[in-house]
Amino acid sequence: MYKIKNFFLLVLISFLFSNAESIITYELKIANGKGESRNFFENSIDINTFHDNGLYFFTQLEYSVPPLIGENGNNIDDIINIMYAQFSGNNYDLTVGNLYLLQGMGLSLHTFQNQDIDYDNSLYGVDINYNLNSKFDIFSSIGFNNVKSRINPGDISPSISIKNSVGVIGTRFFHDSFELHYLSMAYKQKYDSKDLMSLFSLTNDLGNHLSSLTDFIVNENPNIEMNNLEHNVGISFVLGTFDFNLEKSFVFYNKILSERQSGYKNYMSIYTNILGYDILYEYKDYNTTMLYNVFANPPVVFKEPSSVLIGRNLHSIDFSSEYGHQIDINKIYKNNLSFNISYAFALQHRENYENQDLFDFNIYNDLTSIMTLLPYKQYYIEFSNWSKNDKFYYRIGYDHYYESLFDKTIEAKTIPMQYVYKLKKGNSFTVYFELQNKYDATNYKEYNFVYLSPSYSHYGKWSFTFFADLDLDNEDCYAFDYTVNIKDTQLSLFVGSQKGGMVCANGSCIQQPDFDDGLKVTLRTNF
Amino acid sequence: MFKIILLLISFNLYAESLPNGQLKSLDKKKIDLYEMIDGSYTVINFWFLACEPCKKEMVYLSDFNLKYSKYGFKVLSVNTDNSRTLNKVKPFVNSQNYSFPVLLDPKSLFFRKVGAKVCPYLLVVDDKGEIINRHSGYNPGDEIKLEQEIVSMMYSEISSDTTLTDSSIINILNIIKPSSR
Repeated sequence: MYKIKNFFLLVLISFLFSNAESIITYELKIANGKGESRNFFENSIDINTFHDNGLYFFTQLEYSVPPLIGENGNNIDDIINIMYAQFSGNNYDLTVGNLYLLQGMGLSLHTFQNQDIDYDNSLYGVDINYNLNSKFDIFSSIGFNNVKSRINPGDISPSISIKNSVGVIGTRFFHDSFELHYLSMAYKQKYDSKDLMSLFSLTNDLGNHLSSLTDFIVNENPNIEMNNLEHNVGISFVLGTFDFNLEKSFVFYNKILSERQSGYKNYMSIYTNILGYDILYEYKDYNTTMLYNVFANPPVVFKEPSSVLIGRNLHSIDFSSEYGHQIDINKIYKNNLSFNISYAFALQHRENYENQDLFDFNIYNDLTSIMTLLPYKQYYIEFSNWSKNDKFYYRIGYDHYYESLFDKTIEAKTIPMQYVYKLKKGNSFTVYFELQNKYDATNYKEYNFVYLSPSYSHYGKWSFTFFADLDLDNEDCYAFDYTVNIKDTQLSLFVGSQKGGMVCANGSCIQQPDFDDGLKVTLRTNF
Repeated sequence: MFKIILLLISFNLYAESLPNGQLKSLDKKKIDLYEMIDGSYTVINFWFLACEPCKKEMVYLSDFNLKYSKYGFKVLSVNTDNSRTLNKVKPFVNSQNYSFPVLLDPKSLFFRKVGAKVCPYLLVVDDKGEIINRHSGYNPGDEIKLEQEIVSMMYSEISSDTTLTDSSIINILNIIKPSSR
């Protein structure tokens, strides 16, 4: 109810400062499918209001019955998704309402909203950033939230709901290319027995620990409260041709229904350019194995794919328990040939198992010998270029993914390709064509997939896309999409079936869920 | 809910001014957007690393930035990758040799502030700071229409350029009409 009261207070204030401008965005998503498809009816409105005195309000309203993912939002309290007011003075920035915070690389604190998966870990409170001078900032936030999330990505509704009260204080120093920050974050977390039971299904040490206490949790229905403390320090600087970024978090927390623990999160990146090759090396070591992370969203240290088929085997990173590294190299040659190569490797911290030295190259030879550490490796190479007359474009890659999960080991080899041919007057053909061979080593099963998606764009006014998603051993999916752009409005009609993942059509790439034989309508417009 | 929306709409005036934004450079320096724009004709595009259409569009934006800079035009690029992939942005941008500056919006607050929902998202802003058009998504060939919009926006500056010899710009001037500005 507090949201409603504050909302009407904001409306009242807006009336008082009537000399305002606004930007309003409306989005409608409707789906009606068969079988296991999730039918949904989602409406969301983003209202930005700017006042002459520098006051800025953001409100996001959502009416979704039902939403694609999450709970029905049909009562008045659920309709207000986000609401915050910001004011900037000469030396300070003040935010009241939902706080979206990021300090350093997010090892301790990064709050964000992801509407696609109905996730929002923002605090509801007050944040202030004060500039002491041109080189020093101090910042502080205080707030609370109830973070709802789905332990199993296949779930529609949240399976866990953790209540948090948080206080953050920190400082930042910057001079030229040197930056140093420190923050201290104290937070109280509350879990009820239902949350604890949901955590049983985690496939890491925390899940194992709680599973071993099943009888106690089921019979006693305990409510847990814990006080956690994190100290986060980060430094970035340039030394010669090298860019360094180092960050560390010290974490003190309670192992649920057990003793006090300490953990850490480390991250490092080094970037340089050698002989025209832009080279980035990243290292991560996240070790808070008995903590369910709510506020950390640190670097993933692997390449997030833009390919549909590669995206279906996305590395399931565990931010509480993972160490690994990645090297990523980019280069554009004189004839505009663009080249990218990337290699990522990661292991998990497991209780009672010794950590491996990532620079002991023997471990890379036979990953089956370190299967208990759930090894992940992925390399990717890609070339792309436009022809000299700017008519024809190609992008060809090769991806090799290997990951040992809790219950299966998957190896996939994918060749993603994209071709574009430009016609006169801004019309164009685009084809996404991808091939994948996937091997499930646990069940000794091999799968072959083909993804083909040609599209035609007509002078930016409308586009038509066809999707063929072929599983050479099972059922295929076919669909088409027609999108029309009229001024600030975009309307898309999708008919057919679709497998979930990142889908690129109509010049945008969006995460889409599985959909079976039906119609989807998406409308976006700015007022 | 709709009453509330109507209420909100009713008291707001309707000019589409570009809001200011506090962003960061690739070297993590604080950037004030208004200071950066400084009365120029501007195109602002939003993108993230895994967005292939975004990267294709940026090649043309880099060309436009060079081609029309002498008429008071600039491109500002805003990356929306968050902490998960933020450190990969600078190496990628440096490797592409873009002619425009790339700014960081890792919390997507500015992205949200301008009413964007999907990437690539592009704003065309005139010299008075008014948003005169928005583009959502990019298909190859869309850059032709965008270039016409840019020329149309700066019609008086370009058409009064007595040293103009670039045939591609002259062709666009012949296609569009001054009244379209």
